[in-house]
Amino acid sequence: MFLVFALIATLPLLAMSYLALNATREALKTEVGRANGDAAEAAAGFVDVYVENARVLLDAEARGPLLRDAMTEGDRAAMLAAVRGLRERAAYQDTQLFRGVALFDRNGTLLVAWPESAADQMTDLLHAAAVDVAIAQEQPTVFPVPRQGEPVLPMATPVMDDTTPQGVLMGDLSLTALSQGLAPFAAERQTLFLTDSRGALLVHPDANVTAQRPDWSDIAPVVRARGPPSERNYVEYDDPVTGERALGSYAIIPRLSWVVVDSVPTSVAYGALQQLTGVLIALSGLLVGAILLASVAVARRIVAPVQELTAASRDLAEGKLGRRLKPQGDDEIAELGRAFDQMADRIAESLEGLRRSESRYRSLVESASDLIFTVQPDGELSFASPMMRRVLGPHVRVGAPAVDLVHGDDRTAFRDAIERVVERGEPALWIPFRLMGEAGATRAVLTNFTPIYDAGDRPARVLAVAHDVTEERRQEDLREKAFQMARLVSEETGLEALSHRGLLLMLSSAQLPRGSVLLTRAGELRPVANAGIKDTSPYRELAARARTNAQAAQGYVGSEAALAVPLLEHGEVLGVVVLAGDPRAVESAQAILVPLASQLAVGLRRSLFEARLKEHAAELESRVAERTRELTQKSDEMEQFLYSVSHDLKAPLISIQGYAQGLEEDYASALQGEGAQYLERIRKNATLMESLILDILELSRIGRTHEQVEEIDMERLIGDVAARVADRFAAAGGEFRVDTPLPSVQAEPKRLAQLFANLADNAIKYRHPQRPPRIRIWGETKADRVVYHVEDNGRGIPARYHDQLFKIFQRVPTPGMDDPGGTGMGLAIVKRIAETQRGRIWFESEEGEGTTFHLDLPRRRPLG
Amino acid sequence: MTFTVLLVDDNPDHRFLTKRALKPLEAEGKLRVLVAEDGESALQQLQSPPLPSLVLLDIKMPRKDGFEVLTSIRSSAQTATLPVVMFTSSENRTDIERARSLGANDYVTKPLDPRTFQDKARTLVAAWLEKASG
Repeated sequence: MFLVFALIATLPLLAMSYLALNATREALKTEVGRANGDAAEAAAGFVDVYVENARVLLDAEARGPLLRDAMTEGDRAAMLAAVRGLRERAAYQDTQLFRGVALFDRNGTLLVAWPESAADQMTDLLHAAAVDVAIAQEQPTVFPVPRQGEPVLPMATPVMDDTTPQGVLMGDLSLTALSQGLAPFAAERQTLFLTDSRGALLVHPDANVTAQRPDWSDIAPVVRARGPPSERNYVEYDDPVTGERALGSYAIIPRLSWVVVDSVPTSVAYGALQQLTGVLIALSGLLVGAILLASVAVARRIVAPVQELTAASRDLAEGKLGRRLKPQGDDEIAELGRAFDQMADRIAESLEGLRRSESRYRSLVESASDLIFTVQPDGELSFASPMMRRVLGPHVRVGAPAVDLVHGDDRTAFRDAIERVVERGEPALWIPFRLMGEAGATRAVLTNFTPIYDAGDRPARVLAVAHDVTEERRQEDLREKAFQMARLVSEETGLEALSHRGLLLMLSSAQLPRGSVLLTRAGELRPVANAGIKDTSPYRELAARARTNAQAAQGYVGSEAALAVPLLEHGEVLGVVVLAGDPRAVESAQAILVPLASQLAVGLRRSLFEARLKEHAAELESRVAERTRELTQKSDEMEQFLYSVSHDLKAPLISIQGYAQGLEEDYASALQGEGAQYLERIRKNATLMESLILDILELSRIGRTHEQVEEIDMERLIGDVAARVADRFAAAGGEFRVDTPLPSVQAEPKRLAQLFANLADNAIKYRHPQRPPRIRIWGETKADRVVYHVEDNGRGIPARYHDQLFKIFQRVPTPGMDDPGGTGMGLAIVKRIAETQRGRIWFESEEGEGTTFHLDLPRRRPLG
Repeated sequence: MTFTVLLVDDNPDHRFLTKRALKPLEAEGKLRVLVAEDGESALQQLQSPPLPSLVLLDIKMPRKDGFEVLTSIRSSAQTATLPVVMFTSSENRTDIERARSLGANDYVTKPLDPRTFQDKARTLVAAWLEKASG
């Protein structure tokens, strides 16, 4: 392409060469034409003179006395001598001017002629006519050159005898001779020719051409010469003889109106031009070659970098930012390349910045608690923040219509909002609608819609930020419900009707929870900041009066009438209703106000009561918490006490036991009978004391220390307990039975085992003397609790001891039976264990029949 | 040189009964019993040579309890390796572990079983004798 361009660039050069050549040609034409024109002029002058000269000579002879006398005398010899003499005399450069000279009488009869050949030549019709004309005219006359034959110019002069023509002297001027005379006027290669006034060729260097006597009236030089005179006396034409292009310069011979043309072939005239053309062509060729070379070099120098630039720009447009040109050099192309590199760097930077801000935006959107999404103008959901899926569920799908997420009843409003934003290009704020979550759950939202523009002046999409107001709505709903009662009241009492007449209803009570004044319109009891009232103080005075007197109070506030009616309940003023407005309306409202007041009083009482209840409940709770703290503290203190007491008791006990043993070992011989018995009793009591102390310690530890709560396989646990007491049961011939399945429970295993072991112990201790001891254990699950039952067939517990059974140190006396022993701590321990396992233990027992213990525990507890 | 035992207990009855349990060995001339009535006097006695071969240390004592005394014994370079046996209550695992962790070599539960205690004492003395001669 560049080459084509380069070639085209040479066209002007060629054009200029052409123009230059043309100009030169023209210049040459002018020069040569003019020069030749001058030559033609000169030639024309010569011809003129030549002809004139001949005529003068003829004239002179005709008028001379010789010829006159000769004619008068009729002297033929003298006539001949005269004619001959003239012919021979009239010469130019050794060439006779006249072809022939002849003398005619006045009748036109040839008298004499010289040379003899002239006699024939000059007696044709033309000459005869010429003679006639000369005689008639009585003037010298030149006659046109005959069309055919040798070109001569007949001239005739009448020979006059005073006043009468006697005869005519005629001479045929030879143009052939003339042509020889013209020869010097034509330079080399030039052709000089002569035409008559009509354009017929007279004389031409080429005798053959002359012989043809062609009509050259239509060749340009002749035409021009015969036309109006002009500055330019040369013209290009086609040489009729050679066919070549020739430059003809012309001149007119004045008297004869003949045309002289000096013609030169253009190839000769513009010969210099050809040289110039050759040079120019060579130069042009060189220049074109140079241009081509240069353009190739330029192509390499410019086109290649430009191509690279184009490719790099394309890459850039496609988002590939890595390419840089890094050009060398100082020229403009290198500068361009560097500018490109800079631009690419900038673009990469901005894109990076955009990416960073986009990721910030993304993380913002993802962490925002509002629901953010974008909707296309055609309603398609084009983006949904992760929160959307979290709140609404997995059915949120990008690409689906956004209205699919909107509650059916709200879809029109949603669509309208989107349309509005797209059409007007303005945000739509706080548009309420509901979004559908999973399983029909709805989220009430207030949404701000904002138009987002890409390029162009219409929004490309709509950004929606939805604020979840479901909870707030719920609160509002509750409040609404709370106030509907009052509304009902007002409806029933016709207060609506009052409100339409523009009346204001105010309700004031210092006993309302926040001591606020409720101002209302249209019977809706709602805290309104200022329901058109700037200053409520005037009304307060009236209200205070009504309150103090427990009676309606009337007054005026400005132009308005005001009526304050106390809300009485059992003589107590709970609040005051103030009605204000047009006096007539106030009066007519009075009748309605009374029942309204009592209704409102009831309502107020209820709300007051509720408030008080809440207060009490709060107080109770705090008191209970206090007590619980105290109790816990006391119980902890108790356990601490038990612990230290038992420890302190142990020491002396150990001493007692030690000394008792010592006595036994060292002084057994000294102690006989009673002494040994005393010792025995001492030892037994010491042992008992030890058991007591241990049990107290145990009891205290149960409250203080805890095991890990585990899921207990009760069947296994009871099985272990059974194994431990199995011998004693077997020895007594008894039975330990467990009804399976026993429900599992989550509790502290060792403690639970201890509990059941103690119960089993008791069962053996308090067995019925007359039957083998039998235990049956079973259990069941009741909702979230488990109940175990331990039934024995022992001697039972008399009713009067039922209350005391679980107290410490209590042992049921067993008159008449063996002292079963025991510390009286066993059941206290059992009870304590049940308590620490968050359970409850109770029993039924009948004296002589047996006892059944029940243990109620929570099925589950926090494990560990 | 005889095996000397330093008995540290504030309770006179405990002291009597413990000494009584060791009486047979004393009679055999195998050991000698020294007595300290509380932690402070025990530590005082331990400051002046000769050191006893064994300390029998009770826990519950006024002003300085057994653990404190044990800590003091173990932190002094002279007595760091002195054999110490603690008297503990039978069911008190915590006390036993604490004794161990503070550096007691062994423990004896109260109430003392004289027979067991005597056997233990004999073993200790025998071991001491072997060390002393070898």
